[in-house]
Amino acid sequence: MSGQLPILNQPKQSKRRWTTPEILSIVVVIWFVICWCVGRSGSDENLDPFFQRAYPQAERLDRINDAMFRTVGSEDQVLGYVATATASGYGGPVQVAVAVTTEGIIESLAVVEHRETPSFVERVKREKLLDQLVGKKYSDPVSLDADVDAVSGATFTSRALTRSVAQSVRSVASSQLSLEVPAARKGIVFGLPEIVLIALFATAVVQRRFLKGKQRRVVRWITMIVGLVSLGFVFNSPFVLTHINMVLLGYWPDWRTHIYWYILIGGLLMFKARRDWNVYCYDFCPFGAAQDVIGLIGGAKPRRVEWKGLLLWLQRALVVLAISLALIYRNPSFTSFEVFGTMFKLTGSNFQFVLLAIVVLLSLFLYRPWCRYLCPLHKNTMEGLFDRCRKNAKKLWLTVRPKQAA
Amino acid sequence: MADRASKASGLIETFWSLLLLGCMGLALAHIVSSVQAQSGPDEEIIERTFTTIRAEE
Repeated sequence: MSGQLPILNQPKQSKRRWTTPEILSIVVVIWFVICWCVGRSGSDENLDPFFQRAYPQAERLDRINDAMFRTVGSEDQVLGYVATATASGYGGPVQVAVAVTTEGIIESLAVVEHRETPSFVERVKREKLLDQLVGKKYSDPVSLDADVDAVSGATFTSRALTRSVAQSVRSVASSQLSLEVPAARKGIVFGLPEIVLIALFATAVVQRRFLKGKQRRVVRWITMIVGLVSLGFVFNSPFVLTHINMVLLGYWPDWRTHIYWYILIGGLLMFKARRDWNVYCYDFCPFGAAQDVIGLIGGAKPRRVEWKGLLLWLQRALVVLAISLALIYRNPSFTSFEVFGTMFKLTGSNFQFVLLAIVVLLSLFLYRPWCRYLCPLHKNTMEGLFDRCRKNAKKLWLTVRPKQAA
Repeated sequence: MADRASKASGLIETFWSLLLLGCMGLALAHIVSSVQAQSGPDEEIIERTFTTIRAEE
């Protein structure tokens, strides 16, 4: 019986008029497309002046290709090469310029542009990761697993930088110096974070499908606490707005080094699209769990607030603004106002620290204030937009092809 | 008595809402400051690394 119900309803649905939220969701999607196009049209950077700084004694700079320059001194003597390469960090790509001598040694290097989470880049700068790479040879491993120490708390950024540098020096050595370059290490990064994430997804699904009542509540609390400790405090890899921006901008990181990213995004989309389950927010979001734990102390519960409609629309406006700017500047992470890193790694702007303090205070009395009034990924915002788009697409399909759908 | 309780609960509701509005203001301030700090290629890093290496030579 239950299987026949949607079919009986379908002709009725297809004749229904478009509602205001449906139209607004289409407007927002069109607006994002416009922002994407604006960002795309203004993304070409001229890096020539920065390359010249690597070899100030150079008479001229010959462009070999888009990613490589030859620096030439007086009497046409080749001084060295400058090459650029890009690799994906946690929040987006990191581009480096590497000055290479005619012997294939890294003479100097610089991050010329990055779309990475700013706090991670700050950490890498502070810990002087770049200095470790100067003096390495084209034949050295130049890898986190071998001769470079990752900066703690910024492993993805360290890996992206190291990979970009290795790629640059090897491309110069092989193409310009005719040197035999060792095969690039393309090992798959699969460890504890990925295993924990898969286990959390699996437990959440089992809990939703097979458990009820008290058992379900107990298992949910277990996954929440595991999520809080592992994804929050230990790995510091929660689902963030940056991930959505990366998808919208088309920044697909290398799957070999970002399996975690693909499991997280793929798992979320798969369960949302197939079952309409948000297994992340309600089962193992570390910040959701933190609010739940704080709420236990203060006896938090869903309470009435004034100006509910205003707060809802401000929350949505904030998210649309953050995503629009990310698309225009083609930087997935810089407008992300979430306080997850502030809580779990004590990094962020002064605004974020104050914001976190207020959210913690509110969590004592209100049930999940961040999720309900501020989170860019909540049902009020991006999850809601996803649901609406899915329904719109279905409706459009029923309108265009009513017979086939029936 | 009931009137006073309802007034108190109304005040508390307004207090929560004001705090939430404050949070949104802080989030907006963070976004604005990030946009102001965004300035294309990271000149500061470039200057530091390239000049440091040159000085060592």
